[in-house]
Amino acid sequence: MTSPSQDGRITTAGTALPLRSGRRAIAVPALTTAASLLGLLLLWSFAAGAWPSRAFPPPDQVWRVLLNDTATGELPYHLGVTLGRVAAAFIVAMVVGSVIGVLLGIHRRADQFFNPWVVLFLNIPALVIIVLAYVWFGLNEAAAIGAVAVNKIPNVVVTMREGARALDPRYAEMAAVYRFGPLDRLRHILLPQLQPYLAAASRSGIALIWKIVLVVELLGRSNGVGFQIYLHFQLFDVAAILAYTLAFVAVMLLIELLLVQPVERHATRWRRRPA
Amino acid sequence: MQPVGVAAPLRVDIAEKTFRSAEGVPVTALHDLSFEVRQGEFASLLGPSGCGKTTTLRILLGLDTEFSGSFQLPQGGSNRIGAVFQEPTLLPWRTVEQNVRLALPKAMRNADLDRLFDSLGLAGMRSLFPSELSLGLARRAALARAFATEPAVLFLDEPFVSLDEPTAERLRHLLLSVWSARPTTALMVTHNLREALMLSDRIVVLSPRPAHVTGYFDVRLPRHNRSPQVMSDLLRSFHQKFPGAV
Repeated sequence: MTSPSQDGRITTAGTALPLRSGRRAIAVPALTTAASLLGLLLLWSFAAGAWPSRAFPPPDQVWRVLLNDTATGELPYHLGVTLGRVAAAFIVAMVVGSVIGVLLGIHRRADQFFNPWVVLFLNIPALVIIVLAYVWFGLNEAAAIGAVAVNKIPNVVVTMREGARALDPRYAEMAAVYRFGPLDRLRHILLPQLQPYLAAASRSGIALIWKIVLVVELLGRSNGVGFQIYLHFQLFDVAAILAYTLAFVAVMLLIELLLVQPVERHATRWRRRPA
Repeated sequence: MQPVGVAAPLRVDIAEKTFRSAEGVPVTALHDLSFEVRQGEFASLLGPSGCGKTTTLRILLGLDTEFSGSFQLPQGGSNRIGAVFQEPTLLPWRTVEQNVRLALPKAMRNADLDRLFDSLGLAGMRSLFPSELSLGLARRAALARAFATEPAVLFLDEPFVSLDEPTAERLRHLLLSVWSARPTTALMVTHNLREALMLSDRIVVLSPRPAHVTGYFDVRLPRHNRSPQVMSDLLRSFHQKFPGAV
């Protein structure tokens, strides 16, 4: 899903835009992306026309459902609920996972002891954690968000542990000599060094989390995109299922473009100016 | 700001410092190392490569606490330590000015640093990132950071190493002019005898490993009188006193 490119920038396949380039260099990939999506749409439209079926609606039918549900306010409501859960689970997973990961990366003995736990949690299926969370803590919001976070935390731990291992001790020594306070150490020494790892963990995190949130909603919540998809599955309403899915993918793309990429550009501004 | 209070010297008395090598064999780096640097004096710790100079400095900086013995740092000014490391060790993600200000105590964060930046020729580079600086300029920024804290004692670990000679020479003069504007007890580690003779009031000569003090060499001439002629006299008398030292 994500891969560090040669110069250390993390790019997500399919949504990667060149960070620094002229107008032409932006226009060409953008046109390619647009043409590619248009091609997919045409293929879908053609296939739906060739094999008409209730289970395979054409794009314009999906679009009508999308507009209709937006007008009634149902789609924005469920989107908002799901987005809220994604955000909450994301923040919990990143904070808890980063703290554990950095501690394990710094303390070798603790890492040796806890590593089997990390491997164990990495390999527990998401579904098992969700079911157990609902059984143990009830069908409530905290259990839902907690279950999603627990699914993501081991991934964050592994990435941030690598980041902590790569910390440069010279900066910490400089900070010790000049008596940096704990907050300054966090802001100016630790976080900037961990930034590429934080970026990698959050990129893969958002994609993973929103998929798990849908399962959580399907199994134990009465609102959200996952719940709506389950509902429309029982009604065999494929157009609605596709409408909700596409709406959510579009929102996640917008977040990536308008939030994640600008933040990352700002965080790495010192890197991109050549000497 | 002038260091205040009674003339408290920098007093070092390290009984022993041992390392464990990768195979677990103990290696003695320092043995019975004791010397003193008077208040306001610029001293150099001179010794052959690998004799334990940097180890001594790390102990004094408080970065290495596994040794037997003791040391006493001078008091005064902000009661802080200024350090110039072998590499500039600037934070690459902060500008030159932010790097300097971050090293200051909270109360001094907004201090006026114009004169300091000017005197080091960094006035136009305050908003640059370290990756945009040459090594010589980065070293100047590291000097600015050390002096900005108005330290009670200044430690320099081979601050001019791996620069070309003209750049190093210019930087030595800059260091001298900034230091004489803000005199503070200073200890510089070096293996460059000429550099030590040019900058120091006192040279502490170390033996090869395990390091202990072979002797002192005091240079009582004012620095502006140390012409090339005088320097070669100084070199000769140093070699007479410490044959084969460096």
